[in-house]
Formats: sequence, structure tokens, C-alpha cells
Amino acid sequence: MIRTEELSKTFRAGDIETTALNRVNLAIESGEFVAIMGPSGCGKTTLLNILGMLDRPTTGKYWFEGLEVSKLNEVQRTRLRKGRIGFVFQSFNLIDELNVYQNIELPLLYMRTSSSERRKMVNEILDKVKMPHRRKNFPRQLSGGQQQRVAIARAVVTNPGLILADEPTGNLDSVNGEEIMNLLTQLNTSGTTIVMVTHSPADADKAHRIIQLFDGHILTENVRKAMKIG
Amino acid sequence: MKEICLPFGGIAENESAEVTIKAQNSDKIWKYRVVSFNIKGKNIDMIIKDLREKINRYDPEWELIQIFDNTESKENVHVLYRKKIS
Repeated sequence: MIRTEELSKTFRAGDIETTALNRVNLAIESGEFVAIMGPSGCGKTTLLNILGMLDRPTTGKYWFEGLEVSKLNEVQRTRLRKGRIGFVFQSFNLIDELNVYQNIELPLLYMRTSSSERRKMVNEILDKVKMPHRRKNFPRQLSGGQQQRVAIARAVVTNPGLILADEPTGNLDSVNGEEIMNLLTQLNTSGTTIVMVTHSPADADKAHRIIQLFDGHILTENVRKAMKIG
Repeated sequence: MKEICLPFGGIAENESAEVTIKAQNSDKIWKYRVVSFNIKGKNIDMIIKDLREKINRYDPEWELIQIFDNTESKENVHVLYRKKIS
């Protein structure tokens, strides 16, 4: 599903150049659950942003589902990303002015899904994340765990093949964090590929493979458990 | 609760510290070890090469859990291992 070759990213502030990623070679198969760990500032989020096409590498190549992304322009990248990649952020990133139903419906509006289809898809996903009773609530009326469940519902409502999660339990207590990890594990079991940045060894334990980044380099890749095929 | 934070005096270069956790009313025991590697004066390519070798050659009964760097002094990298449960 994902392949990178000698992927590098540098940021420049005045005369100072910082290398966030340094010649990263990575392959992620469809259906995998991969955790990315490493000290703060080691390039985890930069890597996730490039994989999600929210950012571009400075050098190197990136293939997503066989297509070389680094050659695409912004419009082509947006078209490729839309509906195929779902994002889950540490701070949920829900829109405060929209209720639960409307937040989840948003990606379907961007994809111009018909009204009846939208209703069906949103209701299905609300059931899946056990939030149908909260459909009319606004984000501020929900707990952190509930907000993250809505954010995950929004990320998966278009049935993307890939979920990119940046510290999805970072703002949650252990009970809510465990619920979110169970939800991500369920999605993976039903076929969704998951790439998750985390500081939590307990959360990383749920993944098939753990990649340790250090100063922009892949230091180690550790296979934890076999991926179920089929 | 998934994680426990333990304050202690710190460990010098190439030393290690070990912690054993036993859950009450349970037979479960987890053993963790933090090993400190000195990186002072080395360039990043050397650090990566050294760390990779040290981690790959480390006692196979222990698995790598997390890497922490001492961002203030940039002198030591701390590597957290957990004893594999057989």
C-alpha cells in the first residue's frame, strides 16, 4: 500500500536547516497495523504528514497504492487523499459549530455523496462507535473519549483503506484510551490499514510492527505479531 | 492505568537500571530495564550505526520498548527494554 524510497524532509529557518527525516525507506502492506515511536522531535509527525499527503518530502520518492505521489500536484494529491485516507489527531480537530452528525457527515459532503447515502453511512458509523444517542450534541458537550470516537467515525465514514493516527490516545485517560485502541484494532481487523504515531508502549503493543525513529532515521523495525491474512 | 512514572537519581553512561512490577492478586510480573548509551561527540550517522548495533545485539530475552534522548545535554540516549514473557 505504501512505499518510500530515501525519503527526506528538511525545514529551513533563516540560515538554520533542520533535517526532520533522513533517507527513510519504508514499506507498509495493506491490512497492517504499524506503530511509529521515538523521542519527541524525531520526525514521527512529519513522516505521518507526508504519508497522508499533507506535506511533501524535500527529496525521495513516495508511492501510495502504486502511484508515485511525489510527482503529483496539490489538486491531484487532494483527489487521491479524499476518501482513501482518514486522519485521527491527538486533539480530535472536530468543528465546534457542527454537531456530531454534521462533523461525521462532512467528508461525505466533500465527496458529493447523495443525501440518502450520507444519512445511511453516518447512521451506520454512529452505531459502530456507539454514539447514536449523541448525534445532536456539539463537541463541547462530549467527553474527550467521546470526541475521539466521533473523530474516528469522521475518519472512517468514507471507508478509507488507510487510517493515519497521530497520538490518538494522547489526550485521553487510560479507560477512554483503551476504548479508542479497541476501536482502532477492530477497524484493522476488518481490513483497514493503520499507521499510528504514539509515545505509549501499551498502545504500540496492539500493532503488528513497531518502527522506532531517531533523529529522522528509522532505527529499528520490530515485528510484534503476525498479520491475519484474508 | 497503563504506565507508571518512577522518579529516581538517574543512570550514568553505559549503566542500566531495572524495575520489576508485580500486579497485586495476580501472577503477572513485568521486568523493565533502562540502558544508557553515551553519544557525546558523535555525529548522527555514528549514533544511528552504534545504536542499531547495540539494540540488535542486545540480549534476545529482552525486547526494545522505547527510546528516549536526553534533549538538554545530548550526551546520553536511554533505551527501555522489557523482558519477553515466555
